Formats: sequence, structure tokens, C-alpha cells
Amino acid sequence: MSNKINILPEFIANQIAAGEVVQRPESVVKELVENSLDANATEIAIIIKDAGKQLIHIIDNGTGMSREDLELSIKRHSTSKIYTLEDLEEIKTYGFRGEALASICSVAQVEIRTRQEEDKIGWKLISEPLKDAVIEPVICDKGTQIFVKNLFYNVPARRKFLRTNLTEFRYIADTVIKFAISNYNKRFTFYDYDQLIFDLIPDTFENRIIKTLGKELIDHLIPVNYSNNYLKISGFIGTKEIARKTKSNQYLFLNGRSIVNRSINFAIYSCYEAILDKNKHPFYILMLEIDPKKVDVNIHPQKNEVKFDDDKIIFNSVFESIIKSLKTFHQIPDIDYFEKLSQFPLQKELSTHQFPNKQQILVNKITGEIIDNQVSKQNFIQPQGNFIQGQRFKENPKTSYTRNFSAYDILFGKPNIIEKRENIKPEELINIEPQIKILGYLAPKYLFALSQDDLLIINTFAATERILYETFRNTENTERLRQNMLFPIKLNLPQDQIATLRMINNELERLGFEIVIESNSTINLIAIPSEIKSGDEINILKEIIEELENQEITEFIYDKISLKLAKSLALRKGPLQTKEEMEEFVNKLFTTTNPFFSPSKKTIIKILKNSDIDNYFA
Amino acid sequence: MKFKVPMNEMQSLLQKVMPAIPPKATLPILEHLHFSAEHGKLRAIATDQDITIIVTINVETEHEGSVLVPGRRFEQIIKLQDPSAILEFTVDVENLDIKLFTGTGKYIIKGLNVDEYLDIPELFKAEKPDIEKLISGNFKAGAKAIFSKEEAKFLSSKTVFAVSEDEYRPAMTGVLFQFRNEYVKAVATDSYRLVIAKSGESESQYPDNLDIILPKRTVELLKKIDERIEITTLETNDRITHIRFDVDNTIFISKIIDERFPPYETVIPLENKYYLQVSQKELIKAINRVSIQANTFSKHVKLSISKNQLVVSGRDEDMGTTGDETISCEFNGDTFETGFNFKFLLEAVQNIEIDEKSDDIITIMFSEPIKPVLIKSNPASDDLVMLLMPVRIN
Ligand SMILES: Nc1ncnc2c1ncn2[C@@H]1O[C@H](COP(=O)(O)OP(=O)(O)O)[C@@H](O)[C@H]1O
Ligand SMILES: [Mg+2]
Repeated sequence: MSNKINILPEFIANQIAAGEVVQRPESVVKELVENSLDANATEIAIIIKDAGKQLIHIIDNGTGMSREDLELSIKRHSTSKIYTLEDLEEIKTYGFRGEALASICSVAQVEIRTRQEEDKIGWKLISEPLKDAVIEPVICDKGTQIFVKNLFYNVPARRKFLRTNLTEFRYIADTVIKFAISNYNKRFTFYDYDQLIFDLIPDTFENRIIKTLGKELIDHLIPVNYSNNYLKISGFIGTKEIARKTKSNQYLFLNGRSIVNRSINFAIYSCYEAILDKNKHPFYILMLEIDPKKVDVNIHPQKNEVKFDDDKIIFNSVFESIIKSLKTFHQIPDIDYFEKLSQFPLQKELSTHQFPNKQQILVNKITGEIIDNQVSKQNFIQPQGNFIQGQRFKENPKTSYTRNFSAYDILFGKPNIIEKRENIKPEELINIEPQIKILGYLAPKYLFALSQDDLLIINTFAATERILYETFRNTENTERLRQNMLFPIKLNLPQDQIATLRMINNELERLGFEIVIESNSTINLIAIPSEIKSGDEINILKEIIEELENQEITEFIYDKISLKLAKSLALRKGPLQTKEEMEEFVNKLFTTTNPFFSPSKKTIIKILKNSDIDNYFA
Repeated sequence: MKFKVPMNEMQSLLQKVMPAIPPKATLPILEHLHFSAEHGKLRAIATDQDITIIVTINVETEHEGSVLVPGRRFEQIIKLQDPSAILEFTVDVENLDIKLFTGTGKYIIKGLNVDEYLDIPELFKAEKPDIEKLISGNFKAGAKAIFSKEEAKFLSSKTVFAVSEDEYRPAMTGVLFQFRNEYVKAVATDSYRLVIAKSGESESQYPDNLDIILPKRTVELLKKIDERIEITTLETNDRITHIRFDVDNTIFISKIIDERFPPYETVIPLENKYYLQVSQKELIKAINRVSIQANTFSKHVKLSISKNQLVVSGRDEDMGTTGDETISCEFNGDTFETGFNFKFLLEAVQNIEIDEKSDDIITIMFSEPIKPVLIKSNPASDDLVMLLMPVRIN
């Protein structure tokens, strides 16, 4: 009997790791730029050839490495960033797994030149798969340069699966833009061959966004600033005018790291639910800062997925912060209305987007349009010669392109925007109690009310949907009232509905239902949320199951059920009886996050101004 | 067809018979009253297929005959007449015009041939509708019962509010009448509350072991009857399908709900350790006051009970409003906390009739937090028992 288990030779282990860490040239760029940022570089240049397949060259002015560190850096699990297990629980750097350089070295020819400030002489490491690395002294600037050549040349299968140059280039550009946005106080220079794509000097956050994503965003960026004792949220969200049909304009950073997170995404979409069509995607660039202990970034080798200790707090905070900004900036929804209600004078704070005259963008390699640039080839052919310490890349003197070009336009084509909006007027709206007088009731659906000079027509059904949806959401983790029944209702359901029920029963229970599944065809309904009226129990339960049946049930089941329950209850809403009841109803509506639109986007309030009414009689 | 009758008698006939005319009839013909005059008697029939009312009065017949009278219009005309007038009612055989002479006035309304009434196959959903049969009991008459004056009113008015609207459980959309020789019980539930009214009068007569469920509308009609009633069940193929009430000159036939009522006895807690005794008036006031502050959708009020005091509170998280009322009470436990839909609680408490002995004090009995509570006028009485299912907090 022979033994079958071997310890993998290091090289193979590295190649396997590379399969996870290095999927395409973009991954290399990402890992290397992360390393530069971790090394406290303030200037980073990225040069690629052939969409990174031929060459990825990163130059930084960071701390550099000693000879010993250089030697170790390409070994697997070698990292200077964590020492102990405790460190792993509190990661403040981009890198920590110590596998990027090792992985890259197993699938490409790599050359690293590095010098620490205090050293007179730098070191050069040349590595080739399956060969021992060679280290020799070299004269170079402070910082680190890495050349990654012929990526995947020794793994034909991977090379074959790379997409077209255009696509791979876009991946890289997208990643570089993300770094440039989240590190707006650092300089980023990006070349394709010898053509400068952009050279972004340290800037304000807002200017950096506009320079990378386009001037059209001016006047459409709504600031978000929020903090509670769990996290801090800053950044910008877009007006509805710049929402797109694709998700391309969405950036989320957690402690500087670009991440994707469904919970946060869902919170953002929920805020926009009322003002955007279903097929539109909101613009957002949000930076979340949270105690690194409260989040796990080590759940995926690419480090772009994270796990929060408490998803719900994150959801609620993001939701609150965005709703607040949308309200303050009149995105939700009627400017005049809120202006009237407001007791505060308008504080006209126009965003001062003066554009620096020096604009950088020139090249349109992608669209084929070549715009003259003055960057000389030598900049990277002999990089060590020209990347002189402290000296910046030349800014392009041409100013005639300052108008409408942005790196983003050039890379991705011009977004089809936008009629110019009136300047956004920020205004504090929180805690303003609208003075509303009930005029009459067209039972069962419409309430008429007077607010200052405006006539409000309130769709009480849609309003009920809003009120209940928020009640359910607010009471999710606190108290839900559950009305028990003397005689449980026995109900037969088709098998697939029972299957659906099994999946959502937990959430139904949190909402106040109590359902015992007796077999694959019968259930017993024992208790219901106390908002459901006698006689509606079964229909409402069925409606919920049917709704959820046709959806992919993975996340936010509670929210989805809440929404459906709110809708079902709203449809069955009995008429309001007394004037007090009507007043209370309207007050309640105005305590919600969005009294103007229901969560399923129905209009709740229609405002008729005096002048509108005049028009009827004109 | 021609007869004369004092106006007030026609007015009272209409009062009795019109409730069977549906507010919006599915069949227009059912908006008509079936009139027939014979041997000095006028018989008027109205039906909505579930309920049929037949009233007979004495008239002075000149020509016998029958006609369908447009019910609502006829009622409107008669209602406004001087009760002391004499009504002369004539039908033109040719065109069925109904001519009404009131002494001062003359009215003509359009009548219809009675054949049309009888020819509607849907009527009563029987094979062939036959009003004559229905009245004379070609149905097999089954058990008989007699309700003393006010008994029907008591049993129905105390229960009908708790009837369910849930069409999935038809049994609960009516009131169960349980006859047990010595007494009768009326029971209604919508599964959130349950009410039992019991009556056993010496001049009444109850069959033994008869359970029937009467539709809500029928019970609503019984609420208005303040007279001795003779009750007969009507059977087809040995199954009770209808029930007949004879009151004075009125016959009132109703479908029954042929379903099984839920086993309500099983949900009544047998051991109720805790007794809360509290003034009915005070409790009603307290509920009314704090419910203003309660959430309008969940309608939840909380009862916090201690030895000598009961706190009733309503609050609305969304609005940040709260309301508390403290009233004195007697409680045999230490503390107890429970909550209810305030509408149900209020209806239950209001529904309790106080007998002189217990002056305004009602008793609420508890066992366990999630078991139903019992509300009565006093612990010993079982004339009227309310059961209420509490609302739990998740
Ligand atoms: N640009 C750089 N400047 C300075 N040190 C670097 C640079 N790139 C890599 N290193 C060193 O090499 C080590 C290994 O890098 P890497 O394989 O990416 O692992 P990790 O970033 O997870 O630590 C780093 O911990 C760091 O010490
Ligand atoms: Mg790294």
C-alpha cells in the first residue's frame, strides 16, 4: 500500500493560490497598487501594455524594502502586515494574506526594484517561475517598482480565457479609477503604452470624483455625511437625473477598500425606490468607516467581500444617512412643498466646483481617437531614469480639452446625461411638523387636506402601505404583536407553496405569524400579526406566499414580506371614521421616511397649488 | 284583485316583511313583494333566497287575486300616508297596473304577474321553487322550540357582533344555537373572541340536543323580535336545511348554515387561577381614553394588573405617543400583564350585562398569559361569557 498524500511543492501551491488571487491582469494591478498604498506611497504610476498581458509596471514612492524583505516578499505567506492572530482581527491594510507577490511570481516574469529612503543603494530582484530568484544591487529611486511581464505565459489555459484587450483594459481602468477615487489625496498616473490616460494630482474628494467620472456630475452630487457610534458614512449620492441603466456608477469603500455588499446595496436602492424606475440604478460613491474589529475582510481571496458583525445596523445606518441626504436635497420629492413647510431660511450653498485650468485627459485609445500628448516615451522605457524622486509627472499643458473630457468618458464613452438641474439647495428638514388641516374625505381612498396654500390629495391606501411597511421594518428587532387565535385555521396549500413557506416561515414568525406546517399539503395558522383583520388572514397569507414564490428567495426576506404584507393590508384598509382618526393618520404618514411615495412607488400625495387651481379655471 | 285595509296595518306589514328584500337584489324580481288576497286575508311574501318572510293580515277583499308589487316604491308611498286612512288596493287585470287610493291621493305603480316570481328556478335553490310548500311544511317539520318574549332578542343581540367575516370558515359566519332541553346557548366567534349567551326560561320549550347555525343576517332579524316565537326546523331528505319562526302573524323562514361549528368548549380554560374585579364603567372609560394613543393599525392596549390597581395603556412607537389610565381593582394574584386588541376588549366589556347584585363590577379571569381570558358579570354566572384571545409580544 502506497501513501497518497503529498505536501504540494511550494510552486504548485503558489499556482493554485494564483488561481484565486490572480484571475486576470486587473487582479495584478489591484494587488500591486494595494501594496504601494500599504507602503504609504503618495504617488503611484501604473503603466500597462497589451491590456496588462505583456507588461504591468507599477511605480511608487513608498517605503521600499530592504534586501532581506525583498527576498522574502515573493515567498508565500510572507507579509509585513500582520504578526499575530489579533492583527488578523483588526486589519488596517489592504494586504494581509501575503500571497499576492508569490502568486504573481508563479504565473509571470517579475522584476522588482526597491530602495528604502535611508539606504544608499537599492535592490533588484528578478524572478521567473520555477527558477531561483536573483537579487542584485541597483541604483534606483526611493520606493518600489514592479514589472510583471508576460502574465500567464506558463499557464496557457488561463491566458486563453482572458477576454479581449478592450475588456481587460476596462477592468484595469475601472480598478485604477476606484483607487483614485478612494485615495483622492494621492497622485495617480495611468498610462497605456506611452499614452497618458490620466494624471490626477491630490485633490478634494469631490473634485477627484468629477475628474475621474465626469464633469456632468457637477450639480448632481448630493453629499452624504453621517455617523453613529458604529460607523461613519461619507461620500456622495447622485440625483435621479444621473441614475443609469447599468450599475457602472456605484462605488462602495469600506475603510478605503472597494467592496461589494448586498445589504448596503439594498439599503441604497430602498432609499431610491420611490424616485427611480425599476430599471434605473442610482449613482453612489460611499466611504464607510468602521472599527476594523467589527468587520471580517478575510472571507475571500480577492478581499472585496466583507462580513459585518451586524448587518442590520449597517443596513439601517446606510438607509438613514441616504434618506436624510435625499430629503435635505429635495430628492424626496417635492421641492416647493418642503420649502413652504420649512421654517428655516434657504441656505444657498452652491457647490464650488471651480475646475482647475490644468486638465489632464488626452488619450482616447479605446475609441480610437488619438489625442496628442507630450509625454515622452522615455518616461517608462527607462523608468528608473525619469521617475525622479519628488518630481511629478508632467501635467499636460494642453488646456483645450478641459471642457468635457474626463478619464471616464474616454474609457467608457460619454454617459448620456443630462438636463441641468437647478442648483441643489441644502436645507434642514428634519423635525419640521407640517401644519396640515383636513378638509374632507372621499371615502374610502382620498383625503383632502390643506397645507399653507397647497391642497394635498392623499391616497390613503398608498399611505397605509408606507406607514405599515415602516412599522414592520422598525419593529423587526423589537416588538411585534401577535394575535393568537382560539381556533387555528387549517389550510391546504399546493406542495410548492408549502416549500416556499418553509423557506420564509422564520421571517413570517418574526412579523407575528405563527404557522405550523403539518404536512406537505396542510398548515395550521395559529397566530397572525395584529394588524390583520378578521376574515383577511388566509387571503393575506396566500398573497404573501404567492409573491415570494416567484422570487428568488435569498436575502431580505423580512423586508420583502413586510412590503407585501403592507400592500395587502393597504388594499383592505377600511375607511377612516372620525376627523381625529384622519388627523392622526396624516401625522403618522409624516413621521415616515417618505410620505410622498409608497414603497411600491405609488404616489401618496398629490399637491395642488393655488396656481394649479387657478389654471383649472383659466 | 281588490282589497281595502287600514293604512296603519299595511304600514306595519311592510315593516315586518321588507327586511327580507335585499338592498341590492341579484335578481330584480326579488325586489318585489308577492301579494295574494283570499278569504279576507292578504298574504305578503318577501325573500332574498336565504331568508323568506311571510306576513298575513286581515283585509276586506273585494276580488281575490295575486300580484307582484315593486317593494321599495310601494313602501315609500305607504310610509308617508296618514296611518288612520284607509288604503284601497286595486290591480288592473289587463295590464297589472296597481292603483292605490288613500282617500286623498291616487297612485299608480306597475305590478308584475306572480308567475314570474314562481318561475325563477334559482329561488331557494330547490328543484322547483314552491312557496306554498315552504309555508305549509311540505318540508318535513322537525324539532320544535318556543322562545319566550325577549329571549330571541337577548340571545341574538349578545352574540351577533362576534360573528366572523371569514368566508373560508362558513361555520363561524353564523351564530350557533345549542338546544339542550333545559336551556339554549347561542355561541359566536371570529376566533379572536368568543361569546356564549345562555338562557333557560320556564315558559320556553327547547328540544334536546339540537345544534343549528343561523346566518348572521337571520340573527340580526331575530334581534328585532320582542315576542314569543315558535321555532320549527325544516328538513329535506332527513337533513335540516331551514328553520321556521312563527311570530304572531309572521312566518319567517331562514336557511341554516350546514357546517360544523368549531369545538368551542375545548378552548375555554377550565382553571382560571386569577380573578380581576373592576368597575365596568371605569374600564370602558379607560380603554376609550388610552386607545386614542394606541397604534391605529395594531390597536393594541396593555393591561398591567397588580393587587389593587389596573393600568390600561396604549402607545404608538411610530408616533412616540403613550397613554395610561390607572383604575382601582381587586386582583387575587400579585401581578399580571396582558394585552388585547382594544376594539375586541371594549366590545367584550361593553357587552357584559351587569346584574343588580354585582353593581357595576365585572370579573375578568386569567389562567396563563397566552390562554384566552374570560369576562363575566360575576365568577359564578354563566348567562353571558366572553372569551378573548390576548395579543402576545414577540
Ligand atoms: N510596493 C511595495 N513597497 C514596499 N513593500 C512591498 C511592496 N510590495 C510588497 N511589499 C512587501 O512584500 C510583502 C508581500 O506582499 P504581498 O505578497 O502582496 O502580501 P501582503 O500584501 O498580503 O502582505 C508585503 O507584506 C510588503 O512587506
Ligand atoms: Mg499585497
